[in-house]
Order: sequence, then C-alpha cells, then structure tokens
Amino acid sequence: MYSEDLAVFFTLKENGGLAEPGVYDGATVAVLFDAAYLEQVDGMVGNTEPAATGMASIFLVSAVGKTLAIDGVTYRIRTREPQDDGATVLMRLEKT
Amino acid sequence: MADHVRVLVRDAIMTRITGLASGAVVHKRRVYPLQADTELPAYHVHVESDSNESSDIHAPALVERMVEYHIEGVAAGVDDSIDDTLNAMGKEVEAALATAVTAGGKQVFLIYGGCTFDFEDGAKRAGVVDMVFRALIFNSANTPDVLS
Repeated sequence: MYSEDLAVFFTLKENGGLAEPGVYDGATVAVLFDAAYLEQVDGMVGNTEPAATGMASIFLVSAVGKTLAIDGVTYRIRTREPQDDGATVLMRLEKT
Repeated sequence: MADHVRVLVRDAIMTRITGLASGAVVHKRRVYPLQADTELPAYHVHVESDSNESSDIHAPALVERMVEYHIEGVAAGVDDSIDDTLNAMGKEVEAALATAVTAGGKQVFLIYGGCTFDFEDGAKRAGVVDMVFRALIFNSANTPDVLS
C-alpha cells in the first residue's frame, strides 16, 4: 500500500530540499514558499503574490487569519486551499 | 508653441491635486507599474477622450471641445483599509476640483462624471478609484494651444 512521506516533500533547503522554515503558531514549520511578481489592477501596480504550501495536519482550517513569518517577513494567511488528496494546503498570504 | 489646450488643463489639474492630505504623488499616464511597497499612494491624470461638437461656419472655426479627464487614485493596504483609503482619495480630489482651475490664463470648470473602483489581492491589496471629470474648452481651430 502506498503511503505518503510528506517529510521528504518538505525537506528544508539547508538539507537539500525546497522548503523554507516558517514560524506559525509559535513553532517552526516547513513550507514551500513562492512570491512571484504580480501586476494588479490592470497593470497599474507592481507587487508580489506570496503563497505557501504546507501540511494540512499543521495548517488546519483555523489557520486562516493567523500569521506565518518567513524570512523575517510576517504574512497573514488569507486562504487555505487543499491540494490534490488534501494532505497539503496552498495558502495565499498578505503582508501584515 | 505652447502645449495643446487639453494638456494645459491636464497640467492645471495635476497642480491642483498635488500636495493633498493623502500625500499621493501625481503622475501623468505611466508605462510601467507603480511599486506597491514604495510608490503608493499616487494619482494618474490623463486625457481619455476629446470630442468637438461645434457647428461654427466661420474661419477659423471655434472649436468647442468636451475633454474627458480620468484621475486614478491608486493605493495599497492591508485588510479592508484600502476601501476607506480610496474613498478618502476620491473625496479630496472632488473637493480640490470643485472650483475652476486656471489654464492658459482662463478659468476652466471641471464637471465630476462619477467613478469606478477596482481591487486586487497580492502581498498588499491594491486598488484604484477611477474618477471622471469633463471640461468644456474653447479654442480657435488654428490655435489649439490657446484657450478662447
């Protein structure tokens, strides 16, 4: 039987993986962080679109509205979007 | 030769709304985006359209143009504060343009034509209030840089 090993998926960069350490609910957790360039309101504003993927078992439904700090920047979690089988969630972030 | 009459009025609008309480920097139409973290709040002022409705049979004709100006207040913020910020920007512009601006030595009245809002999420929420003002401007057909 297949079983997921999410720990491999969330290996930190410092250990050869792709994940970043983030601070959430007072604990350090691993997330896959992305902050792609974004043009808003018909190209009038240049900004970024920060998002993080984390384990659904850590980022519960109650995560929305809480903060997640990554690399010294604190973000508020705006959405929690379960991915595929629901083991991971994509979270849209906004600077506080 | 001076600038076109519609540009003279645009510049007068820009001067009038520079230094308002919001602290917004005033720009002409920009090619590149304003950076959310460093360049907001701001106003964009530009001519959207210019139509001539005169039926003058004299030569040179008197051009009676209705010029539509758009003033876009652009801001970024967190939570739901952006909505209040944009409404405050709209309020200060309407108040500032309630009296005539002076362009080319003439008084030009601006008629408020309404506004629309647009918002979009990102690292900061960005939004724009797009305000329309119209000005009735007269000039002789052979001198589009001199207001009549």
